[in-house]
Amino acid sequence: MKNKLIYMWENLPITRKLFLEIAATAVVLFASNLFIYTQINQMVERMNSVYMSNVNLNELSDSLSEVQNYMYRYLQVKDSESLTNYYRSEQDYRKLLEGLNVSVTDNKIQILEKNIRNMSDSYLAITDETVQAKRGQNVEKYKVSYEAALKQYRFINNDISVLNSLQFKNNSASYQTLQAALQYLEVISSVILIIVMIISITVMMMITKDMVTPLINLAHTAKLVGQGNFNVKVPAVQAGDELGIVTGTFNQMVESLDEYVQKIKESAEKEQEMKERELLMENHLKEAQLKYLQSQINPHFLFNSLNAGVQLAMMEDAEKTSVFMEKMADFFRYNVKKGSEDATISEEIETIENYIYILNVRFAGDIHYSSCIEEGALNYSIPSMSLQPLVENAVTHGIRNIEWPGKIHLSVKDREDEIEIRIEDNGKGMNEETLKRVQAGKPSGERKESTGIGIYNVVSRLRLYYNYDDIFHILSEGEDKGTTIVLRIPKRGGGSYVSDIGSG
Amino acid sequence: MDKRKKSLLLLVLAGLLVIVFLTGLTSSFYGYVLKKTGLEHSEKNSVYKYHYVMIIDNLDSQFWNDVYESVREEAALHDAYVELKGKDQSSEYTTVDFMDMSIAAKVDGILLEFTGETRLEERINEATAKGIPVVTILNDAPTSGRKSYVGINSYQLGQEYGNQILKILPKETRKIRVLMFLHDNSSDSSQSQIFNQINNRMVTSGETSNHIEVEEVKVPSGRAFESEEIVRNLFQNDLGPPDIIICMDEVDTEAVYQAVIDYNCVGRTQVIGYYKSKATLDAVLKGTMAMSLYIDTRQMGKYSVQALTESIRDGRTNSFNSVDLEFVTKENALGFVNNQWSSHEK
Repeated sequence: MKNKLIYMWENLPITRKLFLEIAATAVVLFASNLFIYTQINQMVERMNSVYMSNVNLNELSDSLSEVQNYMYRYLQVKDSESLTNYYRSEQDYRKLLEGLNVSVTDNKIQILEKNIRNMSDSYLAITDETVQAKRGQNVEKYKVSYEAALKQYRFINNDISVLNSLQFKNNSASYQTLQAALQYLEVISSVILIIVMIISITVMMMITKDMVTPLINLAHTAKLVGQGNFNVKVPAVQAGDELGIVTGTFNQMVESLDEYVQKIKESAEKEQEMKERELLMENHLKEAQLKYLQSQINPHFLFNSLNAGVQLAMMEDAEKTSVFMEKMADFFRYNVKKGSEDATISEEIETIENYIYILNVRFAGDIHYSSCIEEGALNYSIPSMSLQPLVENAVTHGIRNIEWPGKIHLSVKDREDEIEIRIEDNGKGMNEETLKRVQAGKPSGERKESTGIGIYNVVSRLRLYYNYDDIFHILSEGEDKGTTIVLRIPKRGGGSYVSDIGSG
Repeated sequence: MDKRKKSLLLLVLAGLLVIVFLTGLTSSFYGYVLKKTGLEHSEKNSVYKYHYVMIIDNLDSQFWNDVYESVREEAALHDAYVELKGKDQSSEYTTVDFMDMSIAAKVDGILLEFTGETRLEERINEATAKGIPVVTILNDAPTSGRKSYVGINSYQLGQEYGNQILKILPKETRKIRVLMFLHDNSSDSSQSQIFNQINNRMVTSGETSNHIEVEEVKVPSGRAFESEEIVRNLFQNDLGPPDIIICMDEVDTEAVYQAVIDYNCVGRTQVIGYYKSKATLDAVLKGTMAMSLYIDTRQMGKYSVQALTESIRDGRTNSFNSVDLEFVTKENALGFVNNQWSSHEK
């Protein structure tokens, strides 16, 4: 029951809580005021009625005098008006007498009242007799009766005055007591009011504090959160009112804020990383392009010249020369055209083949090139000019100047989620030291006869392009035992991730 | 939080307790005030069936107050309340007037100290005619229609006085004067009878008959300081103060005693006092007063109420109830001081 009440109270809206609180205080104050007011009112009423008995006695005395006077008047003049008046006043007097005590008690006042009543009865009997005697012209009798009536009239008057003074004395004492009581009551009332006030104020303060404390906590926490501290929480509020809701929601909000900020931080870091990578790639590309540009002296003029050479060779039926020149033109065109774009693996392979052909013409078929290509891998994209430098490297550093026929084997394998490209030669091979240096990706420095793009450039570009370190492997079993370069390229369909890098 | 709630509850409870306590205090105080102001007296007073009136001559008398006290006690046992009427300093009524009042007030019974006023017997008869029984106390009105008399046997008392006087008589052969103050006006009253009996006793006693003279002084009732002046006159008389003075009333007793001291007559003038006021008892103890008459007020109250009740209930009663009397002398005064005085002292 109690818990239920507390539960109900806690789930009340603040407006209703405040209203109930103020209403309860008001009701309590009103009730105590009412109580006090009633008490004081009663007291005042008592005080007002204290002298009532004296007033009544005075009325009685006046009425008695009237009876006596009208009787006297009638005896004097015997007119009907006095007679009527006499009877009326007698009636009045009897009515007043009814208010007096009849029982025998040991209270002086009541005994006096009883005496007055009985004496008045006797007196009225005598006055009646007197009036009757007067009407009957019984002069002798009415005179005697009148004397008797007068005597009793005096007795009664005396008793009334005694009673009056007795009651006055009593009443004065009562009045004084009541007055003292009233003062006492005032003090008590003030004390009660003060107590009620103190309690009401304390209760109100405590309840209000219950309501305000969460707000203060909330404000404090909000300040902390505003300063960037998300690890704070507002102490939970049990109440189900607005404050409870606000506190709960605030805590939730802080949590989500924390999460969001974390996420944003992460993505900002990522972006930063990506930007750095892009910049690096751009640098490498720029470097590669620069190298090309150095070697491209008006390529269009060269291509056109080469094409003119192809035409000329065909006209002279020099078929080999024609093919050679065509391949040369294709090779350089590719270089120029694809310098800034992604290429497919098949385009790269074609370029390799063109390059080998050219070399074989230059060096009279010294290079034995073979390839094993899986069709499925051909259409995946790859940064342009990434395979040819490797082949060039194999030729330059591998099979040039060896005593045995140099071989180069290219294989492209379509693995599950990557494409493995292998370039094998049976050339000089390299020792462990060189192998480590190359694997670590350090430029060698000697580039006399290359097309200008070093292995380091290729590897860096690939790594940046795919954002994947484990992309390049170089294997050699030792000096004169050939070298194998293995590229593991993640599959990345036709779409290009950083296709527009060099287009600017 | 919980602790705060607890203290809050405690505070509210304490406050309520204080308020309840104050309210209780107020209401009890209020009740006390009401009682004190007498506004509720009708509930507090006991109610009786009969209303008696006791009419006496002097309201200030210790003797009569003692009688009234026992009358009240006895009356309460018989379901009756007794109202005391009598003369005091401010009163201008006579006993006859009181009788008239009581008859007009239709009381149930009257106890009357018969004063011998004229027409008082008529009033007794009138009351009897109206069905109000009248019982005379201390002084009788034997010729009236009173239902009963409660008091001392005058003859017996006179004899007793005589005996006591003989005891304290100075052993001289000169003429000895015995003086008695009477408050009664009629010649056949109780006090006159007492006087006659004393006189008789003195005269009939062989040893004293010749040289003892018994005088009476009548003190008229209703005039202030009457006895005091009479006493002073007596002492300033050429004859000198009498040898023995018999008082039939407390005021006389004290006035005479004071005069005896003032005129330096201690030892020469013997005083036989009346009743046992403190001063009287002191004087008897010191030996400056010979003795004092003590009438049993308890018996008097008891018998008078019984007589009234009987006459109301049965219509008749004993016409005479004798009350014990005793003389307080130096020998037994201490007993009175210890027992009786203390029981009536308020």
